[in-house]
Amino acid sequence: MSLRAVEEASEKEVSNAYLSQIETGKILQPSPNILNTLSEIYKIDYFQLMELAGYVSPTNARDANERHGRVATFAEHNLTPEEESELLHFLQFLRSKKPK
Amino acid sequence: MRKPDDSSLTASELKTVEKHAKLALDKASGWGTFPTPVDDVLAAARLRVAPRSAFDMRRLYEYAKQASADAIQKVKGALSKVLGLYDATDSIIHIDDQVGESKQKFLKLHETGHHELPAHRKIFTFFEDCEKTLAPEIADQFEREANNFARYVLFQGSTFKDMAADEVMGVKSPIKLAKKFGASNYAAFREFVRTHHRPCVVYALEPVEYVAGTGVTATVRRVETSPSFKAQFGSPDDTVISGDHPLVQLLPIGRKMTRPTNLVYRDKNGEQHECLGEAFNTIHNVFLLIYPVKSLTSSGLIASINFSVTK
Repeated sequence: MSLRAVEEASEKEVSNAYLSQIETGKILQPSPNILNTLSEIYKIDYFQLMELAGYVSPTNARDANERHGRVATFAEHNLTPEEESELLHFLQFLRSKKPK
Repeated sequence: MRKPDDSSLTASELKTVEKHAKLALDKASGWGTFPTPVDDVLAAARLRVAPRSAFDMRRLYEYAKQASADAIQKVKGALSKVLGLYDATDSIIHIDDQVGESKQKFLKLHETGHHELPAHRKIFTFFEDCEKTLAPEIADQFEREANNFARYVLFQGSTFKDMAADEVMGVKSPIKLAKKFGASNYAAFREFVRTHHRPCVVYALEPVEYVAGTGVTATVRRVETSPSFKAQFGSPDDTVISGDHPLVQLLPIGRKMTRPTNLVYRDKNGEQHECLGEAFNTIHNVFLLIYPVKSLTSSGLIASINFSVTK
């Protein structure tokens, strides 16, 4: 696929010039939205691209004061890793008890 | 304490977010319907609001039959920090129904943003079964994206801005538009100032407190400026309004509103401007809205307060 074809397929979200900067290593961390668009165009795994860009890290690498990122919330305060982990278990429980 | 930035995005990120927000409104045929039909937007997104949500204590009691006391404690801790959440695996959202109705609408749209932005939805299904997480700066960015999604849908793109331009400058306009769109006063005041073509600034303050010895004090939660205000006067960095701060006189003490009051602001070039300041007091916030009405010549007619906000 030519750079211009990608620009077109992404409805101009990923411009020809931008893509060329990714290819030459001038842009090392494209935004998640752009990675998602590229993953769709090239039919590659988005999660893998996110990992390669350094946007996914082990849970124990996060400081408790930093924003939690395993579950999508609207939060006034950041969850500790343990709170977030238990919240995920609770959500699993709620799904299993879903009224049919 | 001043709240951290919850909305700044680069132009290209904003464009992507607004593209998806526009599609969400299109799907719901929501344009031009007032208040903004939030439930239709959710339905069109095939997203459900959990009827018995994670915030319903009875759900936690059910869970307590099988989970450890420690786990329950952690879940409680988590829920006390959270107002809404999106379960990507089940396309369902949980909203804390203890918060006001207009805030709930914003929360629903925020969670819908996580669902309608494919870069969000896809990633949140992954963290169920592995010990991995989004990097904190990306998690923060996703929150800002979801907020901008919510804001775009709630205020129907530039519809709010266009209507605000036809209203008089003053606190009554955002209050009126909040009702029209079904938004909270907090969201409407921010949108009003952020998008206004005229110079204006709004302070969102915590409720006014009375401290023995020092008098009244109000902590600044957030300050929004219109682009033209920022260009001309800069962005105020006050963290508290108390003591001899010139804006103390605007604080509504035991009143719902403070009528337009004269203030003098000095712009970045040192020129003085006669401004009006008004206040509106809700249970949750105090809003101070300030806007210049005319520039003063060097002969200066009034010198009520020389309040410089330039750094």
